[in-house]
Amino acid sequence: MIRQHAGSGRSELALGRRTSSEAPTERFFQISNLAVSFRSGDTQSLGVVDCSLAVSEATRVGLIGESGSGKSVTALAALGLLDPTTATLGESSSISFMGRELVGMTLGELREIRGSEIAIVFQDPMNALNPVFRVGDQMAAALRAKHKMSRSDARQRVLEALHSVEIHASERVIDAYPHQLSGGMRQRVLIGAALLERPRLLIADEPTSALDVTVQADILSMLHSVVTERRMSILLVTHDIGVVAQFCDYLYVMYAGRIVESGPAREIISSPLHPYTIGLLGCTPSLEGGRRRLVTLPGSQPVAGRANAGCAFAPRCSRADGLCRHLTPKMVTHSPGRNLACHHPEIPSTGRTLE
Amino acid sequence: MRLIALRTGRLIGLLWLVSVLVFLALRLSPGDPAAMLLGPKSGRVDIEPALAELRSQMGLDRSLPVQYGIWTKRVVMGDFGASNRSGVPVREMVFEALPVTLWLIGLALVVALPISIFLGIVGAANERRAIGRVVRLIATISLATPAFWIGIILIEIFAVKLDWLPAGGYVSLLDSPVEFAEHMVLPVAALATFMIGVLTRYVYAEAIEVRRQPYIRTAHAEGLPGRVIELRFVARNALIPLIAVAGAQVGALIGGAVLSEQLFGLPGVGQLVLNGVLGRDYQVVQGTVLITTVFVLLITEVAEVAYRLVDPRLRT
Ligand SMILES: Nc1ncnc2c1ncn2[C@@H]1O[C@H](COP(=O)(O)OP(=O)(O)OP(=O)(O)O)[C@@H](O)[C@H]1O
Ligand SMILES: [Mg+2]
Repeated sequence: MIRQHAGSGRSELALGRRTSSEAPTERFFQISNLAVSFRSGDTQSLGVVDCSLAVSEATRVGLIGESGSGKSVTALAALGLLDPTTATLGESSSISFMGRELVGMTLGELREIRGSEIAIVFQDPMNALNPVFRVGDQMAAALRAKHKMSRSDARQRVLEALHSVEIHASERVIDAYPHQLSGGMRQRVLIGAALLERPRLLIADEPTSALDVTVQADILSMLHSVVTERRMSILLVTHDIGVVAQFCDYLYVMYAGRIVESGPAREIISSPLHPYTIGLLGCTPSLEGGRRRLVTLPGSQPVAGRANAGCAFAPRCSRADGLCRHLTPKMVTHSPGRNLACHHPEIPSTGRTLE
Repeated sequence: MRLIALRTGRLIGLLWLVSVLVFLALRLSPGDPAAMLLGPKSGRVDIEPALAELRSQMGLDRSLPVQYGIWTKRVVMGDFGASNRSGVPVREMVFEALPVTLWLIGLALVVALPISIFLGIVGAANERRAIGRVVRLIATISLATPAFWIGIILIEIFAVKLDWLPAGGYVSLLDSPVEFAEHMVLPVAALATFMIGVLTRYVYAEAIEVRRQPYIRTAHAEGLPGRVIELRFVARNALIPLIAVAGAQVGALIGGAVLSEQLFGLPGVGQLVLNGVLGRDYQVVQGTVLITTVFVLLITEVAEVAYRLVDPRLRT
């Protein structure tokens, strides 16, 4: 049901072709050539232009990019959570999970997967919990409705989930209303709710951005240990390179609705190839009002898909030439495990060259 | 504590304002209560002395502030005076009429609320489908149709054509439950139809708003069935503010009730005021309006307190 009104804007969306072998083992979870356009009134705008990424079993994958680059839209699309009345997926968009294609699934089929196989934690913990239900009741709702669990069994499971996200006062939290909890506690509750049905994949959309630095670190380390312990996979959306360094095995860099670089996280951080990634890494996070912020690169990101030809990063790139301004670079394999879309990538200091 | 004092102050202030307004409106509008009492003869000259005597008996020859002062003093002591015409104490008249109006409003709400909630929630869940369109249409039609018009149609069909139900009148529940019910069906139906328009519109708008909230997206992300999301989550979120709105709308509902009473000849509060105004029965009008206002304000207060109790965010 997520694909609607395909056809319009097709030529634009068909730009992305699969040109490279993606991340390790493509079976588990894979997004290919995702394009999302939004319609409001008569105007169409692109949220995601071309995004292909893969997450294999029991790995931690990062998705990084500036604000507005399309990370959240990608995350929402992965579970068919975009509003079908405004959002349209591109013709060749495909999202597969353990051999099943999610694009085109009915709402009923998607609901079988949501929560039980793929779970998601949203960016904004303040409004993601229902204000008029007790925490325990809203967490138990899925167990009771989908698995026909009794009230007491569901409560037991919820308590366990709260323990697993390191909430010690779980007996108190389970009967609390969201407004009685701190931001960090709410985010723990949301993660607990996401883990409740033991999903195989967790998509976490900037799970800590809205929180204080100390709380951020605690929650990330908790998330890390839970995911590792359960041998789950996680797709962690962030714009904090520090988080990626600590957390992720593999990394995708997104810019203006496209993946522009991907590879093992450690390698990208030690030797970034795309000028945009280099820029991102050069911007050290600063402590500002107790929050970690990414100092953005000079210039601003174009609205995804607005730049009609050429590399979207060209206007802000010191290496850009005529080629960059006229031809959109394709994702190509640069070296084993590392892919990139750039006409003039950095030549790694190890001596390896492009050709 | 301060809050209670503040509210009580506000209540008293409002009552005072209402009493002054009613008092002035009555005195400033044309028509002489004494002349009304004496009937058609009063136009003749030889009646003038009698008229003057009657006026002074009724206290109408004093200045307005003095009249108001006397009346307020009595009211504060619990004496609302008596009808000019029948001599029945106003308090008795009001307490006889009030149950009729409350029955009418209460029963209409009992009918209208579940229907409105159902229509509003289901309509919002199907915003862009035919069901949503039908709900919006029902709400608009019901809102745009004057309550008396609905009443007339109901009378025409069920009382005149089919002769199933009485066209008007009232029988106390204590006298005959069956007849009470028979007499209430049509007025309640008319008022409920009007209420459904107001309430459905409100529930629908609120539910549309709630469905866009991030916490509803969370529920979808958990794979909850749509039925559970709409009927459990959206419904509760949308209905809590309805309590406060219903309280605040009591005034408007009474307006609808007055019309309904008039049409179906129910001896309720609306009738009392209307007849009082027509007969220039000052005491009756002033007393009835004041007592009814106290009721309305109390209900509004109760609704607000209930709202605070039901919404966990406002509980302390
Ligand atoms: N419902 C929508 N309707 C129209 N445009 C949208 C909608 N949601 C997102 N967009 C657009 O899609 C683009 C990508 O947005 P997205 O929320 O995915 O960014 P993001 O990378 O998650 O940014 P952030 O780091 O701020 O969360 C933006 O240009 C945004 O304006
Ligand atoms: Mg986002």
